[in-house]
Amino acid sequence: MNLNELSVRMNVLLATGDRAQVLDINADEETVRVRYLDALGQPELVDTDAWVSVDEVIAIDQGSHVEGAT
Amino acid sequence: MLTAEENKRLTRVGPGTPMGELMRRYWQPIAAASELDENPVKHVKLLGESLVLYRDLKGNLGLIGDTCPHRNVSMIYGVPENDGLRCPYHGWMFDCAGQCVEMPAEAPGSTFPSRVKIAGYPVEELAGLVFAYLGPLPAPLLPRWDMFVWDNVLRDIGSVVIPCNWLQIQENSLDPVHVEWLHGRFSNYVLERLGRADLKRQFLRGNREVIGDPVHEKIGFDEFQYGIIKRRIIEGGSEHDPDWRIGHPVMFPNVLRVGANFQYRVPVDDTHTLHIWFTAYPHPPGEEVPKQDRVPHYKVPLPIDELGEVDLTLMDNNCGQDIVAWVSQGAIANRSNEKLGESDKGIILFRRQLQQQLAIMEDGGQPMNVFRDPEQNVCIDLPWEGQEDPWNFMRKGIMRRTGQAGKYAPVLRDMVARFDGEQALEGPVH
Repeated sequence: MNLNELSVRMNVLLATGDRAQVLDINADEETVRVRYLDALGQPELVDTDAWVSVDEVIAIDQGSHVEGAT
Repeated sequence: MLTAEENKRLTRVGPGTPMGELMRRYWQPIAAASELDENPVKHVKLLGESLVLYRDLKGNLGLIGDTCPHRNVSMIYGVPENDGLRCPYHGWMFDCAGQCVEMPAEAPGSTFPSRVKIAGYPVEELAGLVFAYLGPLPAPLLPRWDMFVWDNVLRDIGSVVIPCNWLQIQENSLDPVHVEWLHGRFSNYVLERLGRADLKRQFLRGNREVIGDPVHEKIGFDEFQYGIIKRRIIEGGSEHDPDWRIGHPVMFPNVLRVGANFQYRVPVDDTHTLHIWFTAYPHPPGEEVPKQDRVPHYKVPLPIDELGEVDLTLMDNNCGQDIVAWVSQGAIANRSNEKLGESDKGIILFRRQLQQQLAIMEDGGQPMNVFRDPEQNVCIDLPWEGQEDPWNFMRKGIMRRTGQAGKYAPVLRDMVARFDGEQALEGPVH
């Protein structure tokens, strides 16, 4: 996603399928620090933090709905 | 992206695997009933199990193990009788539950047959399709999705076994953007290569006819009670278009509904998928449609061989283009090295749904789309883009024969000839 669409405390959907909350944004590195809210494939990740590439952020989490421009 | 372990969990379908157990909670179509007209015995491989489907002389269907346990001769060559299938080698006979009921060469009064049983699974026929259930008993109800029970339509059934895993095929249905490229720009490239650059691919989007490339402006997905609704807005369109306002459903776990067509992606084994196109064709308002005694079956040709060579003449239509894309992803797509982008959000949502429903099943619960209440199963209505004007949808959209496997569908070919003339069946579809 574009960094300018993201903000701290926003919930997002990652390319892994996990949901996470944005904790911090590093515009220079184009990375985002997230806290995993769920991780169906790797439940041990829940409540842990990680820096991920902005490319791994697929969508803003809207629950059972997702949409976006192409 | 998935880890190799997660990918394995979602793609392997044999007995005892997580996805194999989830898939066994659903009735799966395995053949068109009309396929048994010429030969009443058909080999069927489903979820890694090798089986034989047969119709006995009373007209009942059976689905049993494919090997006689006596001397391991194939039951594919079995002889249907009144109450079962008889092995051609020494005459052992098995009923539809797989129970041996006769051993002609054993001593009279022998109790041996009662102790010999092979696999036997429930089968049911609906709208010309034969469905099998390989899961824990009692079996749920066979879902009566709307097009199976519609009146005043003609139906046909196409099928082919595609040499790749079921999941990459189903994920294609959560990916609207590929329509713009694979079925738009690439389609026009194929027409050029076929020497017909004068032709351009045409689409019905909303109520508009789009010629060339259906450029997507927005895509959206909503989870609903039967799966996920896929939506799109094409350049020049709006949220009022049926493509967005209604969308079309992807039914969990392995069915796509697009227009008046169901596409079942039935796992044969880990690396093969039986793809079935079931279509119910709307007719002009007021026209009485003759009753079909049997729903015709047609074979869809594979446009790609084992060396990856393609036949361009089979790639002027959606199913040919899709099959080549799916097969080229590998026998089982490696999702640990993929790079998903924002336009793949539907695929992400579907993978989450798969993982959630797997977790429900593993906790002893009942996953979605398992029906047990007959009152809820009279006719399960689904939203579809053509619901407000089925004949217009048929006339302007389906009759192009570019979508689904319409290029080969016999009922559709008859309708095109009837309404547009025989010449409309000539040349590449576009």
